[in-house]
Amino acid sequence: MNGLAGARSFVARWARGDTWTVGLIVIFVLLFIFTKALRSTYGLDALAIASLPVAFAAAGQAIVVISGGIDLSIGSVMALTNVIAASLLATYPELSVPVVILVMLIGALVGTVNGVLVVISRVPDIVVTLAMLFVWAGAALLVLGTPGGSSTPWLREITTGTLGIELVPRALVVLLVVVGLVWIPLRRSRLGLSIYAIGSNRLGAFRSGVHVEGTKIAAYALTGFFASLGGLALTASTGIGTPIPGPYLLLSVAAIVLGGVSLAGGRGGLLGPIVGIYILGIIRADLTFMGMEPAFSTVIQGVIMVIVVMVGAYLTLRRREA
Amino acid sequence: MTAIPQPETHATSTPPRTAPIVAMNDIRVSFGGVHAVDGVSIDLHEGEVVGLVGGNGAGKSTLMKVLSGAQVPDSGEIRINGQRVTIHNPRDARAHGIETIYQTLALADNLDAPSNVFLGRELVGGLGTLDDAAMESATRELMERLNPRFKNFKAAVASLSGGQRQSVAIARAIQFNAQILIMDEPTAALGPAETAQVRELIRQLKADGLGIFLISHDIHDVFDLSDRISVMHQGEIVGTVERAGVTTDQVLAMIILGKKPDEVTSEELAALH
Ligand SMILES: Nc1ncnc2c1ncn2[C@@H]1O[C@H](COP(=O)(O)OP(=O)(O)OP(=O)(O)O)[C@@H](O)[C@H]1O
Ligand SMILES: [Mg+2]
Repeated sequence: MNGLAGARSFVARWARGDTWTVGLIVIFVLLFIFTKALRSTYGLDALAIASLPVAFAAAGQAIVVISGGIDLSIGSVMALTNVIAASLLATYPELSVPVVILVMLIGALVGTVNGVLVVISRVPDIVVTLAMLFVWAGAALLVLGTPGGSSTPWLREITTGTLGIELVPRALVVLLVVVGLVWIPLRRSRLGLSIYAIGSNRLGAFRSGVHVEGTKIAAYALTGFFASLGGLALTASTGIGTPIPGPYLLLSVAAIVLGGVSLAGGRGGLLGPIVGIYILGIIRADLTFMGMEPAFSTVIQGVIMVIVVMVGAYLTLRRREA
Repeated sequence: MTAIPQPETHATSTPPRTAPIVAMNDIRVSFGGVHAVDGVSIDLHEGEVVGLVGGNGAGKSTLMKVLSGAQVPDSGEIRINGQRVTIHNPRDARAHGIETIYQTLALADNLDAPSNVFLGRELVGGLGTLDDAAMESATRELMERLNPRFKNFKAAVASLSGGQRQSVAIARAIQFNAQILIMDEPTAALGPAETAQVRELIRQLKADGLGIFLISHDIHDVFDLSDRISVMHQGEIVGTVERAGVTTDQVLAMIILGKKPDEVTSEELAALH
């Protein structure tokens, strides 16, 4: 098979298997055109920077939900890694690269702790991670009692502005490269298949000889890792550390629902939720620009989500019956 | 797998010739106060089908889950080819050549057929990436034999029919040169054509020298396919009989009354009709 034909058949296969994500991308493009008509100065870079932390959160949440779990502590882990990064960078500005790597490792470690607790306690994921939401939020306040610390210039530089033409924001490139570097090899590995298998049928996967518990812990570790990327993105975009979690938990769940990841587990990918985040972001920007009151704009976002998810459920049902 | 010739020894009451490939001795499993399996001993030889029958809740599935590693027993010993083994999980069982087709289908619904066949033992290429092409072609080859009309290799198995799903489950069990096959109600969800296909397959696997435990509520299936029949009742083995030495009525009486044929009075037998 030559490279081009291979690539074409890969794209075709992906589009066939993931019509939902293709649909979301179409919706996003239409929204973007509409937004441009509304406000010709609007660029994707502002959206990409604002969306970066929550896009990482959505990617992380998607992995654990595909494995059949859910991580309610994701916003707290982002706050924790955000303040750790900001305080370490303030103290050791010359060690910025090791600090960033350390923060990623801490994220993975925190996720591993979540996963181990879920596995050994046998308490439902939602309960364990709800408890950990408070634990990690408290830890963030212990690290930094009030907003403070600082970032490092290169974190801001790699995520700000556009590459060449205006349509390619750096923050989007960073997002896609980082998520792709982790997700594409993972998806093609035994671990990736195991994550889908345990989310699809936990008992069946166990009976097939899948290491259910190890897989679950790995999924949580990956979620923690992505949460730390979210935390670092917050450090980059705000320039400081803020110990109080933002609304990232709810946004991450909203994005995965919108992005075609089944909350029952075993289905979906990471691209859909990321596009979902962008859609939610552009709608919010449009409503604000049109002078919509923030409270009312939140209601509209909720209504749009309900409609999209209902349409999705309806399409799935029709496909089943066909 | 070596095909051993099958001498017709049903008429004699001596147990089959070679040492058993599986011997389970005095197995006990209880759930709270329920003695699901209460001191059961059972064995299986190469190229032999042992039918395991009994009423609902008799303990058949639980006993077989012990052998397939899905249920750790409270006590008892398992020997494979004479060697004492411990089976803590399904991976251990598979390492001993034991494969299971479960009563409730144990497929990962959102994965395709090749992924299900190889789940837990995926083929990987360089850099540890899944070798989808190899897994798919191996699955195609197997299906050629099991269910030639099976064509859906890319779809999630959730969208397949009951018979197709069962083909996937069976393909998974025989892909790895199992020595011992456990089939818990393998035809329960199937139509007549697929049932006939599964029966034919069981005969073929038996001829290949596999030992098969067959759990079924269909007494005709059991009589058709088994060499010996073990009857369970309330967690215990009522008796193990040579297929050729009993009638279906006698086996039914054992299932329902929980007594050996010679312990059943004629009134009890009459009451069953
Ligand atoms: N996981 C479990 N927890 C509690 N009790 C169980 C469990 N599994 C089985 N049992 C009980 O053990 C007993 C034997 O069940 P088992 O499933 O082995 O019966 P069976 O012979 O396979 O029945 P059937 O023909 O209906 O499939 C039943 O009383 C059942 O309720
Ligand atoms: Mg059963």
